[in-house]
Amino acid sequence: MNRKWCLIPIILAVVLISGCGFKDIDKRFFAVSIGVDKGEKEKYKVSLELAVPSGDPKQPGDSIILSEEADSIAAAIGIIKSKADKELDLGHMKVIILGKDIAKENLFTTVDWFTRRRDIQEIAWVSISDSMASDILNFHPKSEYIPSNSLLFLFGNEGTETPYVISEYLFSFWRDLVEPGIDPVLPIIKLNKNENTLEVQRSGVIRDKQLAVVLDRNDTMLLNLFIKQKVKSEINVKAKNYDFTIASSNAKVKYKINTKGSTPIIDIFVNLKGNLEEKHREQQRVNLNSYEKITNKEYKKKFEKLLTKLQKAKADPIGFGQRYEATHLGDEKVKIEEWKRLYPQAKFKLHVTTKIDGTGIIK
Amino acid sequence: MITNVLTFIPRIMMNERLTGGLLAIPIGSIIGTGLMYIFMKQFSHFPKMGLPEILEKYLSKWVKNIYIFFNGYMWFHAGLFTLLSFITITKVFISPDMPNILISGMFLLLICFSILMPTKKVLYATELLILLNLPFILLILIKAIFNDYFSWDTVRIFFTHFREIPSWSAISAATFIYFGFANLIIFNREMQKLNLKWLWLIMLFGIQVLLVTMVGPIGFHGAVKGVEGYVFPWISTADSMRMELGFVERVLFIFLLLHTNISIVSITIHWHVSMELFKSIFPKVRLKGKNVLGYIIAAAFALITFLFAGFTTEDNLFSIMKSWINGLIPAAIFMNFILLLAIRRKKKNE
Repeated sequence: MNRKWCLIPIILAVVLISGCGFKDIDKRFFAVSIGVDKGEKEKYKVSLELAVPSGDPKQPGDSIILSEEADSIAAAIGIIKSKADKELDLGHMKVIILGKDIAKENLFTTVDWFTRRRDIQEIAWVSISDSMASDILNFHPKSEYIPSNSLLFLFGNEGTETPYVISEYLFSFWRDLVEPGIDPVLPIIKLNKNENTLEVQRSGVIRDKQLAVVLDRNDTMLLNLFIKQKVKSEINVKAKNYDFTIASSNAKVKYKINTKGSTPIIDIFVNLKGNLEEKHREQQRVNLNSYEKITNKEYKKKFEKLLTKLQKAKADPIGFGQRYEATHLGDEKVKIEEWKRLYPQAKFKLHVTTKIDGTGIIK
Repeated sequence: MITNVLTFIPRIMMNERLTGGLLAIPIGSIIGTGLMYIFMKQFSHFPKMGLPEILEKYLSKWVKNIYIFFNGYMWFHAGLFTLLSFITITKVFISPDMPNILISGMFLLLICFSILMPTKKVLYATELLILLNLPFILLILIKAIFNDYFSWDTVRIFFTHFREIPSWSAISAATFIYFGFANLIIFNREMQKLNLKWLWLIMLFGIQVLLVTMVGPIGFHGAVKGVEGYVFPWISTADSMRMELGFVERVLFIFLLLHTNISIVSITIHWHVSMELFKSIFPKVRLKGKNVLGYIIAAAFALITFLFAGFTTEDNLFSIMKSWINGLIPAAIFMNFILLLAIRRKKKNE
């Protein structure tokens, strides 16, 4: 059988090739998160958090942070390489933090490097920091066992599940950034020095590739109902005679754009569903029907306020423009221009329906 | 069918996503299954015979030689394009430090080894590998569609362009995924009887595969401007998925592994057919009493691949591929005519 002779070069090749281009795991540094700030002298200040591998699994993981300034992120990484004694491996980098100042400049050119690199995961989380990004990297909460793990848990909905975090992957951020008709939203991380915690409650809407609108905690939650469906949230209602909280486990938001009239009308249907969780009027008897009504009324106002705020800033994180393009025929460029003209005039019509299933353990 | 979807077909069709790429899917499917039906029907007249034997028997010798050579050439390119795009992907995503020649050399060794197997063994190997890989590939395709971050509005934007007339290359690309039937020209040697009953199922499956191929990257990367920025749309899409509880969190690596397997199967089939075609027209070369023609052809294949890998860039390779794919439907129709002629002569003889 002559064919067997073909096997010999294959075996030879396998034996000879396995050695090159590959570095052992103990000769590698794994970058777990990166922070990009505006540099003092040059354009960027890049900080990398590197996990230090340890042989003992009982010991909590240790990490070091290396920073460098350069005119491009790639150049900064190149200089950082000279500081580290081991090969940098960016394949496990899962958190990207953009400094506050850098977020106010053109983000398109900053994020370019991240999407272009083949080894950076498209499923890395992107976020903005309230202060310097390197401060966030330098801070390690007490509950953190593995470097950078607390941020991962926050964004990934694996540990805590909170309605105040609008987490964004690198690929979805990039998509919303380049696509017309939608603006990306990034979570804002704040380092709370007094309490020694990292908190993610607010979010920033990016318009024209720059940070344009910062939403506070309550607005973030409302926006999250649009972007991520099925968010678990606490809905607090405070009106004249009422003060109570509903724990909503299932909220659905749908919207329709009606462009038949001279001004477009955006119908928004919000469905809130949940249990009564807390009541602050001692004498009041619980009447679910009236509670539902008052929630509808209150939340209609809140949603309207948020939407008009976004509309005034010409920001469109929900993607009304995209929905407009999706429901109209014709050339994309024409549609985009048309929507740019229509959006500032659009009117929002809110239909909030609340369904309170029960009052909890007590009546 | 699944293979080609993952290499250069998405790129051709993705370029036309806003100018008729959608309409190309049903048109391509109808043409593809139509051709498949006619072709299989014609071949059922010749049980256990490949194209070389049929032409040998019913047509003049020089016609046969020229035509078979032309077909062998076409089939060789089918494998070559898959291999070249595959080498690029390996270079970019798996081992960027390895020289190009080494990567191509490794794959060529493996492929040359497998194309030299007898036809029957090639079929068995194909069956085995496809059965092993198919569930995982389907899993990834389904996972893509049901991802939380999948944007359905962008897909709807893509669907609003259903009225535009697709270009010839888009239709050819959509038809190409059905062209597996053409491999019958050699594999029919091992087939006793062809069953045409399940053809509609193939069409249904093909439409689904084509839709997912288009819709997946569009939903992940955006229809208007997003997806055109990616060089390998499907690989970036696989990288955008996350399996929280999988063995490997990044789907990319699983995807590349499956991709490797399926690509090798595809290249093997194409080159095996090509080699058998060439074998039937060239005289036998004897070395120590054994026919070594197969080895010579395999070596020639490898040599041409090295040359192509060395002298083409990504862009001009893509334009060569495009013109090659444009010629596929006419070539298939021409083959139908030739087979028709053969069937006529066969009936006359009887």
